[in-house]
Amino acid sequence: MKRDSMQQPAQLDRRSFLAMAGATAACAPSLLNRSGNGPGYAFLSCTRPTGCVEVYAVHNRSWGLRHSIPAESPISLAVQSSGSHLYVLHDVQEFQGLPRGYVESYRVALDSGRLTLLSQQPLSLSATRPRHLSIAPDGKSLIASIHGGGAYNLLPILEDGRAGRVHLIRKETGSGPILADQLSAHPQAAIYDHSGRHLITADLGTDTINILAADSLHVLSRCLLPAGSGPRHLVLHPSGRFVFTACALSGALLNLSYNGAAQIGPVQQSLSLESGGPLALHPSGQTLYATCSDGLIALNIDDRTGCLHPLQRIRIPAGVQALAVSANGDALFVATQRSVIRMEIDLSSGCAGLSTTVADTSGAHSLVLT
Amino acid sequence: MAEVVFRQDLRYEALKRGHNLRWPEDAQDAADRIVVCENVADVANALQEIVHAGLRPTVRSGAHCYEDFVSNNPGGAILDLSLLSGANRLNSQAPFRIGPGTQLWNAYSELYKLYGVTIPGGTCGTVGAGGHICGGGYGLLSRLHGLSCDWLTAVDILTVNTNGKVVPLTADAAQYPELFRACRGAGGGNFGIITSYLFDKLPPAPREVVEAHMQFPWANLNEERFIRILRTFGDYWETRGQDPDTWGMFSVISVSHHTSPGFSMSVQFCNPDGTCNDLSVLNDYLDRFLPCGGATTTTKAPVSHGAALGQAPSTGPQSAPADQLCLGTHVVRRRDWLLATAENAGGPGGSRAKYKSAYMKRGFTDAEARCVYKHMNRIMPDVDLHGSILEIDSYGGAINKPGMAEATSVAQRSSVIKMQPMAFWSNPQDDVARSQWLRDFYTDLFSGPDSDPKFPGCPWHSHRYEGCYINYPDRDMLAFPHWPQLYYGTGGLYPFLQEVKRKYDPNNIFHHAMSIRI
Repeated sequence: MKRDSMQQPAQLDRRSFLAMAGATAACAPSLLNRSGNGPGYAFLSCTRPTGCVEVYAVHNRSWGLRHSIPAESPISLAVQSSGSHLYVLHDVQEFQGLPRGYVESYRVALDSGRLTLLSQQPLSLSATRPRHLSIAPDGKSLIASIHGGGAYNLLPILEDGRAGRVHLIRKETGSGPILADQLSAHPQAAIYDHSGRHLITADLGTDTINILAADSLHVLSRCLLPAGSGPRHLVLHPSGRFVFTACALSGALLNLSYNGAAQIGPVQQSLSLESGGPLALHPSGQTLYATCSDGLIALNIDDRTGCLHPLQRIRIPAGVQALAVSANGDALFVATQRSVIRMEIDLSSGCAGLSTTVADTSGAHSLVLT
Repeated sequence: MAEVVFRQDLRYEALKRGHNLRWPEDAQDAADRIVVCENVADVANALQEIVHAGLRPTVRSGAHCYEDFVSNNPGGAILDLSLLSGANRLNSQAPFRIGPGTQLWNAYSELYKLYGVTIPGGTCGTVGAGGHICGGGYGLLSRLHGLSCDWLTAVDILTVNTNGKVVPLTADAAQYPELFRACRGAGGGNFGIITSYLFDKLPPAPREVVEAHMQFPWANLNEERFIRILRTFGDYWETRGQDPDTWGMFSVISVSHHTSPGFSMSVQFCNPDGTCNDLSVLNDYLDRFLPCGGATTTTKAPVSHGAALGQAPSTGPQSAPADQLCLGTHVVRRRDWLLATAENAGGPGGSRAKYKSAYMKRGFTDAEARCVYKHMNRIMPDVDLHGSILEIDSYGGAINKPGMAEATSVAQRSSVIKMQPMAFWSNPQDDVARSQWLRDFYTDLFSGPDSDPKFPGCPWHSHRYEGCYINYPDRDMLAFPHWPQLYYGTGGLYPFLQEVKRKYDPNNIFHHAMSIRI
């Protein structure tokens, strides 16, 4: 396995720079059209000092707080592509006296951003300390990854937008060499592939990236990562051919091939970033933003191999809690322990530049843009 | 080879549930399959497949679980061990072996006929050994010989290791001793699947017993007379009833709601040597109730001890309207064939039921007895409280021998009475009201002047109370953050069980609403 230890930011290769710039230009008009449909919203979940979910109206370079609601322990958010409904996953040990987390469903007023609670839906028994929630491309189901319970829960989304009762449960087993963190399976994230028929999942406890059938949660394939990796975050390249995972235990960023069906892996590249924090992909598919030991790193993506080449390293002393890229690709939003900052993205290079604070929220865990 | 019953199978409706017809709560909560196993290899193979498929296994032996621990298993699999039955030993040097599917009546019968011994626990004959022994196991001979789990010397158990592999173990005092201890009182759905209970020795069955029954018609009672009955009962078991010469006597009062004609007390007696040569202890006991107005009879009361699950107490519910059909001018009843046949054969039928429990270290105070009287005479508009019962069992004796709390996972070793408030009904529409009556009664009883004001609503450990019995589980107790201590005591037992859970079920494969939490 190739391991790149990146001590210094790499120089941008001229050929890849020009190729990336061309690709970005090609995709930019459609992205810009999406941004022209009206003001979008940013949804932010925070757990410190107290739990809350905040809704901001996103205006070019500033955010305006529209609504803030208390929330018990909102670890992950998912939003309908229409922006009509927000789903909040709560990282708790117990709900209504039973060992399980839960999902809240909110209706989003598109004109005001106000949230109306529709329901609280328990996860399955023993589904404690859930970590991540994803919504299917067709908007008809949610998949929750459950750290404590070592499981995945599939919940239907009902006609009125509420999350329904857990429809499928998959309980995982396994372990890794790091006793403190890997005594049992600890699913961290599950994302749908572009077809919506498969789930790509990361399990910190078993050092695996898995492909599950989205309609049954049957395991289609597993890719075993180097022992002690502890995969935490996942993103799927827009081409659907590469999966990037940030490993919380080893601090590595891994690139895996994906065939769009049942096969994941092998690991094609490993970069030691000494992090394992959140990831964000530029919609052009040419830049990956990852967390590193002292902040952020932007990496150029080889669209043929998925190989990552460091572009830029940015110090963020307040730490990176969540990342998101605007739909038109012109901005990177970074939730730190103290605030949310907006960084301009140079569409020609993918580099992040000028930054401004757009929200003073601290302790953010999840950031979703519409 | 195990038989797997899926939803489309004709047998599914009957096998998806146990005797408490409240579970599964609805079709979505039901298991997707029931795996009926014939031997240990079947169980191991089925468990491995279930774990590999990422499903949740729940385990059933006699199907008497009071709560939803087995039948509420959405999308999962129920492992039915009812066919793993038998109580025997390979030779005179070998331990007695009881299969988890052995119904207690069959265990008594086989052990008696073959060896003249018995297990001391159990009152309801169709309870399976699998769910009985691992939770403690209490019955008519427990005051004389202790709990069933007190006699246990080993278990064969299927565990699931970190990597999801099924691992068979034999746990005893020498091998896996912490797992063995955990299975002596806290083994229900927590650590693995027990496929055999082994006993190096068992107590001799009594040669004979004397039975007595005393009826208390409500028409002859007022509040003061009622209090006198409970005080007489409680005072005896708190004092004289703890003397070793009384340990062969078991007594239960089953207080029925006043919509029944009355209630009763039953006694089973033998001398500690298993004979009935000296009846002075029994006579003294019965004499104490003469001033209470009880009439002794040899006829067993209509509501028997353990009328619990499926025993269809005659004071219990009639058929549910939902089951009734109009056939021309006739009203008939549609039922599962297995359920109807079992009931017709004298076995368990099925009803909807809710249960609670409490250990008492002392007899009744006036305030407690008044509270019982109040709720047994309560009228709830539009709610038929027929089938609402408080069962009060004598306790203590050999159960409270020193050292057993440390050797087993039954922490309650100081009590003289064990109570089981319960309610039976048929109509699903009555679920809320009937459960509410029971909850009101229990909350009131343990919020009075005799309760710890810091822990209202439950029999929190004190000089009077000693928590609850895990074999009578009650999900209502989950409302208390201290529910594990109610069932497992305030000492180090629950943390010990959590350690055992982490070690032997690190994936938490075996879990239910009240399983050990890690």
